[in-house]
Amino acid sequence: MKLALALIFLSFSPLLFAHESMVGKGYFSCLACHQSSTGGGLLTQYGRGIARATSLRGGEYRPGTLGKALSLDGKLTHQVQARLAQLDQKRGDRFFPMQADYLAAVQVGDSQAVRVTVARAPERAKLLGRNETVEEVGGLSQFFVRQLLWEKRLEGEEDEGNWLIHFGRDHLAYSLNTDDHTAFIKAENRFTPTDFPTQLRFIFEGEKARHFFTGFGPSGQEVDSNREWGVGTKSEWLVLGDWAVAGVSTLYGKTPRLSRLLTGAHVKLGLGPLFLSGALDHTLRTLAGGGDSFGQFTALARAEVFLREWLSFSATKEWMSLDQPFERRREGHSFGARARVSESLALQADYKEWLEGTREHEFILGQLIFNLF
Amino acid sequence: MKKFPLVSALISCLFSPLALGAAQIPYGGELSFSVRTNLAAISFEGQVGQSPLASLEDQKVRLSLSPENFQTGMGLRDDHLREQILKSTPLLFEAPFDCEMTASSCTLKGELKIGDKTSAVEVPITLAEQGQRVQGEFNLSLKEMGLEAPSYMGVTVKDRVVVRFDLRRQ
Repeated sequence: MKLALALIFLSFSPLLFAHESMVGKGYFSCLACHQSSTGGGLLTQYGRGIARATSLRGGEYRPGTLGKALSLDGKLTHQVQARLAQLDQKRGDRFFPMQADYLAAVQVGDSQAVRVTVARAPERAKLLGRNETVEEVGGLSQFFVRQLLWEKRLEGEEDEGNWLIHFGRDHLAYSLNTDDHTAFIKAENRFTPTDFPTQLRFIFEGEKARHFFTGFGPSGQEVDSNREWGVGTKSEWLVLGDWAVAGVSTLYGKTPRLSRLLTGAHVKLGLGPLFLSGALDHTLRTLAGGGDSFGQFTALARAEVFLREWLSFSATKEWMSLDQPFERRREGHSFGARARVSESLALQADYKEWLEGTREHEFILGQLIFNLF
Repeated sequence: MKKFPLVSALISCLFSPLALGAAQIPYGGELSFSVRTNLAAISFEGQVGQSPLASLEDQKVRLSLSPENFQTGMGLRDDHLREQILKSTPLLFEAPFDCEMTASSCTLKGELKIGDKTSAVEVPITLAEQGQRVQGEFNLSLKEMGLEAPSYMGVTVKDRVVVRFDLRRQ
């Protein structure tokens, strides 16, 4: 049970990713709505407009007087993301603040920006319903820097796309973006709130292709054994007209304990109100000092239907298998519902159950998601 | 046209309203449009959900597309298109069907009215299935139409709108 709670906590501490389903509305890149190519985090003015337009409230977003004054003519962007969660599982119920992030960006000239996200995580002892202190996984402290990134945009020829350079701390870009971080493709590949390595990243944003080339090292937040150095790539192509995206990811990383080589492929299909996505990743890990190698497969298939622009339901099936000597098999499925009430408030409910060996796990998670700007 | 007397005769027969007692011949099917934006990876597509889409009457091709039938996949975008571009009025296209046929293709020369702007346009069409099917694609310049490119919070559509249609006689 402790393991399940830890998984839920680690995995659902969210980044509020760009919705991959936006590919069905003509948004191949995240950059129209999000300030970062990796999606999630700070919204652009246009993204705020789209958040409002695709909400139950509808209509057009207009920045308030205070917002305009604080933005210093668009040079500064502020945002607060927060989540309140109700977690129901066999052991009992919990209501707790899951996340509170302050995000800011400073525009320097026309081509440079610095973005920072300071996050507050819930106290794990409280989360677990205990009085004693619980050791923080990966050295996670209550306040930590989720993102500290410098960006330089290199303007290319019109229609050919643009290059961007990123340096700083951020999450690694690979496979599908998903705000369900219990997804095996993420949770089983070290994608946790503490996994924000220091990176030098080159990004190409083109009309029909986008590429990420990343070199990374430790963020300094990890425990010694998790300090990882490596390189990674992620590429996506618009195929079959403008409604399908195919992507591949590679990642090589090395820590004092082991090295890992991840290769994966993913697809996204936007078919009107129906959005389909799938991912298959293989990770080969090798223990340090010429030790054993063992492989891991993770896969995800998801269907999401938008009954309204603001209301969607999803069904997800997942698989995971880890080879000997750490042999494990997992299979799970989940169902979710999302409703965006306004540009600042969304409701989300997820039911997830998975089977590992003969052990069954399940939970229901309800979330109130605030996005204030 | 002289090169293909049989095709010509067949098309004339099928498309001649006189042959059908000057009746209105409706055509339905698909009419879509796409436009790129100032951001390389962002483009918008839309379609007109209306039936019939076009008609042939008195040797004239006619389209009258109601603003509420334009759909781009997002409500706000539809509103902007209907209000800012179409000015809440039907999009109209009229052209005499007297174009010079080359094989099974010809170019319609007519007038297009979008919102409060009217402009002469040329629309290449291809006839198939003995005139039962009409297909085509052409570029529409917003600037040449005298229309201002829609812009919303930093995302601006480009000048060239690609229009595609695949119509069948109903």
